Amino acid sequence: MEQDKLSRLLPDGVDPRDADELDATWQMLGAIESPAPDSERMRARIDAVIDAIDHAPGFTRTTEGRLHPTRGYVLQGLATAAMLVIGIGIGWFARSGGFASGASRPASNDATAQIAAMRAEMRDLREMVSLSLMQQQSASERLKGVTWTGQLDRPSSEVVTALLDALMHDPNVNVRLATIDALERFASQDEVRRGAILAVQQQRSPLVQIALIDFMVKTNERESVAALRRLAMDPQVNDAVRARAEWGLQQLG
Amino acid sequence: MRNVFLCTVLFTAFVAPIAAQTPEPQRVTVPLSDPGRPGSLQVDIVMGSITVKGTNRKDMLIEARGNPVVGPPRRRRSPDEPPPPGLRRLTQNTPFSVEEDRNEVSVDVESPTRSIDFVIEVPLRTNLEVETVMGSVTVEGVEGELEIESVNGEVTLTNVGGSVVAHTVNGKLLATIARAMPQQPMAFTSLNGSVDVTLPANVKANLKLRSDQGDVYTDFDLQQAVDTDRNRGQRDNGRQRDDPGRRRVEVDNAIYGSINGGGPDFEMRTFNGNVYVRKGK
Repeated sequence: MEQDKLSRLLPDGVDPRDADELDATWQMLGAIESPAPDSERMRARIDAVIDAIDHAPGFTRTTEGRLHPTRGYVLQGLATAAMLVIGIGIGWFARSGGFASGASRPASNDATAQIAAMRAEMRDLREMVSLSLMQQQSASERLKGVTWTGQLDRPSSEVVTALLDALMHDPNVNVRLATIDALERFASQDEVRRGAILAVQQQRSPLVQIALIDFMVKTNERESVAALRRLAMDPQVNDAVRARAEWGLQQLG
Repeated sequence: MRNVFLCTVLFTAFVAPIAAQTPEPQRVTVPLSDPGRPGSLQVDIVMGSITVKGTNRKDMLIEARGNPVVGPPRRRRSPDEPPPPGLRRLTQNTPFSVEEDRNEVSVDVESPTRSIDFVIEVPLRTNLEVETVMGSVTVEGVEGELEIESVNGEVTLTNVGGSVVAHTVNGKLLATIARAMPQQPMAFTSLNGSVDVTLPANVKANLKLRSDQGDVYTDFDLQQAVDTDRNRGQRDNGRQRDDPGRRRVEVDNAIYGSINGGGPDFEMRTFNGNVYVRKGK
């Protein structure tokens, strides 16, 4: 009875047995146990993604990474006060060292060592102020931090890292532009050269892209050729930037 | 637990009941949590122009005027185009929100495709962070840390004070600085447009001026650095010395110099256009 009904419904030339087989397959497919959603594993994956976003350098810098303005000002004030105290200290020790030079020699040596230690501390403080300025909310303060790095005697690798971070992630075009100038003195470091090549590909601002192409030419960075070629060919890139990339390739060629 | 004082003013303009050729602007006044302290204003929009005026008020007055919706370039029509015969154009709502949190006022437009022009009155001393993509930015008589950016529009700053960090991609940048905050660096840059900055006559600064495809003009007594390439010594790194066959290419055509004995760095730079640095009164 059922078979008759089926053969009537099926188009001509189709064997009802084929239809039965298909039906059986569907039944089997239905019987396959589908994995129940594992909420714990899902949670762990979501957490991992959130964690990855939290630790992405760009994310932390533009949100929590930046100091609250008032906290920044307090830090700046404290650093300035500490510098003043150290400055007075150095002056005082220099004077007492001068007096002592006539008397006992060990006292003079002692004073010289202390002056050296204080100088080192002052250098660290200057660096700290530059770094903290670069974390400020105000673009003008960050610009100040970037230009101050130019006055640092022997900046640590932390300064270079902060400058590269600003070049990649600072939201302000003018701050990014200033970091390129500041990074020029470190152009011999591999990290800086790699950072500049990466930045020229990720940069959205044409003016910064042009400044980076100039940086490549200035530092004779031949490893940037592939990146510059991509820029020159990319129709999405600003015309002036593409022309500059072509020019850069000629210079490096 | 941090006790956060949050005063949120949410404002959404509703459909104007009467159709009009020029829609009436919507206004909202936002008081500051602490009027004794300078506030800050943040506006970041995609379509529309922004005008900020410094006034004697203690709060901020935000005026928004929605522009007629324009279609894709193919179907673009002028705002004055007459409506089809027998029909009248209705004004659509211009949804935007204003939020105040501890003296920081931020203005947001919910739909980035809606074009809204803002005219905002702020207290004289206010920090600004103002940005638009399709539109110009005008600031008049505001003193503070001014961070201004436009992509396809002009930036005009008149009689401003404090420190300025301004940029536009395709537009002119015109700034008249009445008072400069001491020790604070400034930057005025454009890609396709002239940069024209008037500074107080007695301002102490180190200038870095550059135009790739234009000229640089000033009436200041600029003490130019003898070696324009300040870091030349440091820049000659080992790699280049090991490679004597390479010729050096000088691409840095920036002009470095100090005015009135020098001070913080002011950068004026454009790619296509001239740079003017004028002595104010």
